[in-house]
Amino acid sequence: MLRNWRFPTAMALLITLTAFTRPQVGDLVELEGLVNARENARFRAQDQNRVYTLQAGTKAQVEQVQYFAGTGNYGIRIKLINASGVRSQHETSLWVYYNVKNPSMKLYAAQGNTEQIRSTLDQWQSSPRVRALEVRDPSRATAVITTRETPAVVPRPPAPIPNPPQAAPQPPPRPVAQTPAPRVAAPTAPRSSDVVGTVDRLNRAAQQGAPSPECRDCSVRPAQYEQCSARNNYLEQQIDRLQGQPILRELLSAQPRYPRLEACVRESMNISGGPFTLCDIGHANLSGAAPKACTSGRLVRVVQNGFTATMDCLAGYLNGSEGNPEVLSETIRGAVALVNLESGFHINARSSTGASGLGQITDGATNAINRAEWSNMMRHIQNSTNPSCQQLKRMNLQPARPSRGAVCDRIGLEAGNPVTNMLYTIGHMKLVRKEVELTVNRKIRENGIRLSAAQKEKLLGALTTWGHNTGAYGITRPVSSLMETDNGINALNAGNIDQFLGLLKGEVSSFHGYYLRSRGSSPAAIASRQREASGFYQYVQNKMNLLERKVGRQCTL
Amino acid sequence: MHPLKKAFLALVMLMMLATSLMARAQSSPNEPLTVARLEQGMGRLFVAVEKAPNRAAKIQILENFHQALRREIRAFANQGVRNAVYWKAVDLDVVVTKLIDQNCAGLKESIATGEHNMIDNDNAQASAATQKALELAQLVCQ
Repeated sequence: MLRNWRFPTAMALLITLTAFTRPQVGDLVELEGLVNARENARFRAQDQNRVYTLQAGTKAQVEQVQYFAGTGNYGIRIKLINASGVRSQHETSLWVYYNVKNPSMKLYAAQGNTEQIRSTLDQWQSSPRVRALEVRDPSRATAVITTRETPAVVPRPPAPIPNPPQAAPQPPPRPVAQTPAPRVAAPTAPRSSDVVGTVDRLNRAAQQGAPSPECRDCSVRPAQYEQCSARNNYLEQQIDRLQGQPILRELLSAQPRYPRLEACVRESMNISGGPFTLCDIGHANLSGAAPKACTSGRLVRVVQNGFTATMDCLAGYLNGSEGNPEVLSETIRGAVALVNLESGFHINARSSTGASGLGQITDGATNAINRAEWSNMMRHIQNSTNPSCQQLKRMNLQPARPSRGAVCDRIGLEAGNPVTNMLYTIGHMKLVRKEVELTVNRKIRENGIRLSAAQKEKLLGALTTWGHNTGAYGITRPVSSLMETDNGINALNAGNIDQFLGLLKGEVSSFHGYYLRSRGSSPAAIASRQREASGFYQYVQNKMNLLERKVGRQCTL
Repeated sequence: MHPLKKAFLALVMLMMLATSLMARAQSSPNEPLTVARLEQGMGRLFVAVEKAPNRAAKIQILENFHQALRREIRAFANQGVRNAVYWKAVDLDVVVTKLIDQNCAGLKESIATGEHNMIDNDNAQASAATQKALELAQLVCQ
């Protein structure tokens, strides 16, 4: 009875599973039969763009993926690895059709394991050459007919990606799979044990709220991405053009380190507005205002990977949380809250004041970070064994220029964003944190204030967030003032950080009012700045509450 | 002497006396904090730091200055006074404690760049207070 019930259920689930087996940039493919290679992503007979017939054994890497919603299949642009007889102009721009149910090729997921992929690529480059058969007259070429039978369901195969003879040094174990595994196996009939095992795995994943190992873009429920239109697909187009660039290649191919953050990044993009701007490729200057870019899966992945790589590498540098998963998780949640307010994770958000990118970095902040923090951050990245730092190390990171004319350094994909902007965001947090720590530590000492380590970290984290808006100068003076009052000292001694932060609003408002008056600002400008600076931390909290309500859980690791 | 002349001289004498008393009052430690007193104190601090023979002596002078200033700030703070003099004093106090607690490496950089984000679009125009802080840092770290 159980067997009768279980088999159809398993079949249904596995058919769903095949829907998730989709190619992604950076994946490796090995052809299993004859496959037509075309000059562009048009695959109808009348397109007459077949230029080669690739033979079984041809190996390649996926450079670009195009999804066809009508069929559920894909066009993939591949870079040939062991093919001979290919003209130079076709070496990196051949398109093949990826039929999900009958792919005619093995697909190996990159899963962010770039070391492993690199080793495998090295090995594949020395594998036997397979001649590509050139189609001399595309109009007379006939379509390749695949005669191989394909089963209705394709189980996840046990066979791993072929390893090189000597594996490259592996980083410490991460939650993600270390070995790229074929996403689609050689077509063999599924055994009932495989079917049951897969059902169990999917059920477990759903119960735990963890992402299924086969599903790259979903946590509990599949991610819903926006459909791009000609009006809002400009970043998609730039990603297409720049995906060979080292930073973007890393971001596109890396498996998200903290999959739970995907929904937070995506929802933040959905709930946030502009203004937005666009940087031209090749000119490094602004081409003007732009509509909100569509929240595509690929853009979310780029932003999420850029955010997590920098935070994962530099959180310890920021607050000494290295090796402490709880502090790391809270630090990252704090950074999510900050970026959520500042830009809504839109890499091309730009305010009228010139503040730009994920962390809304100003010219002044860029200048301060270049002078005081950039070299420290680069040293940390160079010397760290953290895999995220290793990933950043490969990106050839360059500092941004601190001028309005170079605002694209903080926005443009071409300038390494969102990674560059996140580095500046973290650099600014570090600048503020150092100053705040000096003030808080001295006042704690002088006034005999008792705070637990967790309370102190909560206080410093909140002040660092607040100082992102005010700068170090604009937060240390109000904190110093409040920590000399009986009210401030009593709130801290009672461990009531929230009460202290509430009292701090008045101090921030008063100090910024004094500062602007002394510089001759207009009353309207003073009032506006007082409102913004004093309310900033509360705004961050409010928008984070909204985001976490949308996501349905906390944006922690 | 003409009585009017006498009255005029008496008035001048009185004014001189008042000015002298006011000047004395401003330098008295029991008088409330004013911009003039703060600036006088800063002037004396600069001279003392410059004359101190080594860094340790300079730091001790700064520490003494900070403790004296802190007492005045604390009195103001608990009375709810948040006027220009108060914030000027807090600003100076934060700078002085920074000079005490932070190493010379990177000190001037962090003072020089600290004021960013205080005004929209403000990029590099440090205030007079920051200029003074830089001069003091130069004396401490020379």
